[in-house]
Amino acid sequence: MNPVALAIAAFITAAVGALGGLGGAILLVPILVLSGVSARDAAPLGLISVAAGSLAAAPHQLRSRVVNHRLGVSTEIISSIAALIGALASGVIGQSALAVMLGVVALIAAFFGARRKGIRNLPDPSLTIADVAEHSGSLSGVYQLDETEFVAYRARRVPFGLLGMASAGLIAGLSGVSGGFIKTPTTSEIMQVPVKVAAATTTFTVGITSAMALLVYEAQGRIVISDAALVAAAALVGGTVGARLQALLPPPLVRRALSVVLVIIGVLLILRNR
Amino acid sequence: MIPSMQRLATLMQVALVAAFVLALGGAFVPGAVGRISGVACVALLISAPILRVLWLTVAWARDGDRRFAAFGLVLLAVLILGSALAFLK
Repeated sequence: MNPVALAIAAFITAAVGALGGLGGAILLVPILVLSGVSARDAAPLGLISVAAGSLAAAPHQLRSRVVNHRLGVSTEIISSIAALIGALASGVIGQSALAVMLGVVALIAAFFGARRKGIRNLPDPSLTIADVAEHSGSLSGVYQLDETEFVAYRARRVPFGLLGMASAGLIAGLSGVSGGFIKTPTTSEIMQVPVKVAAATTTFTVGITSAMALLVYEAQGRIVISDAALVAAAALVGGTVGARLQALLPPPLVRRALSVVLVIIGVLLILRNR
Repeated sequence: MIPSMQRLATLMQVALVAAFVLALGGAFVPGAVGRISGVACVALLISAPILRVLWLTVAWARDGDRRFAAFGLVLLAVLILGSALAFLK
């Protein structure tokens, strides 16, 4: 793929990945494969994009206190264990069947995200900017909805959420994508965490998943440094833009944008692997 | 903002700028310098999220949030085990 096109693709996918909490790999890898890059070479570049997008979003998301790190770390344990099992068991399920399964999951997640209207967690007038934080000792917190409104939230249905995270990890391990497109809808729709917090928390956790997967690829000698560096540079800029856009856009718009992207991903995966 | 989170945000900002400069070097500087720069960029991208988990684990332990500090330790152990298995396989 020509370097300019590679950089543009990495920039756009990292921006969308950080905006929707998807990780850019699920978008970048199909684009690279469609343009003629082998799936074996595309997967490490996809994960470089995810890692770069996660790092790029980190300073802004940390300062705006939108990430719930306790939720991210708690769910990432089961997700990482499942990813490890998936990676060790990869080869048991055919790649085409797996890709179609991913596509169906993406379409289901898009449906549930798009069908919900309005904001689930309503602003609490008694809360102020000083309350914005994750709470010590629990999976709850307060986030800033806009200039003057603040919303308290608490992760619900945690066992079902963990099941979703385990599925995301298993699929990530089997397929080499980061699983963010399952984690964000799981956190938002099953655990009922506001979509912005869900997306930002997933952006944090996909960075962890991709770090582990990149170590695997490095051990296998699959990272082409010059291409990886180009993708990283573009994705660092794209991730920064995506994180800033996420802070500016209203939650229903973020959710709808996420649904549209998930539909595109789902259709692409199903069509490519029929 | 909690001081430890402010420091973590600053650390991530420094890592972001460093990763960007190293990535540009890896993409556009020819020869050994470019290659070293690219390798350093990839190493930084891999280590940044692990460092972040380590930082959070220490911060939670210091704040007395033992349950989540323990979760952080378990996650770090899973990451170490996973990486070890990957290199051994």
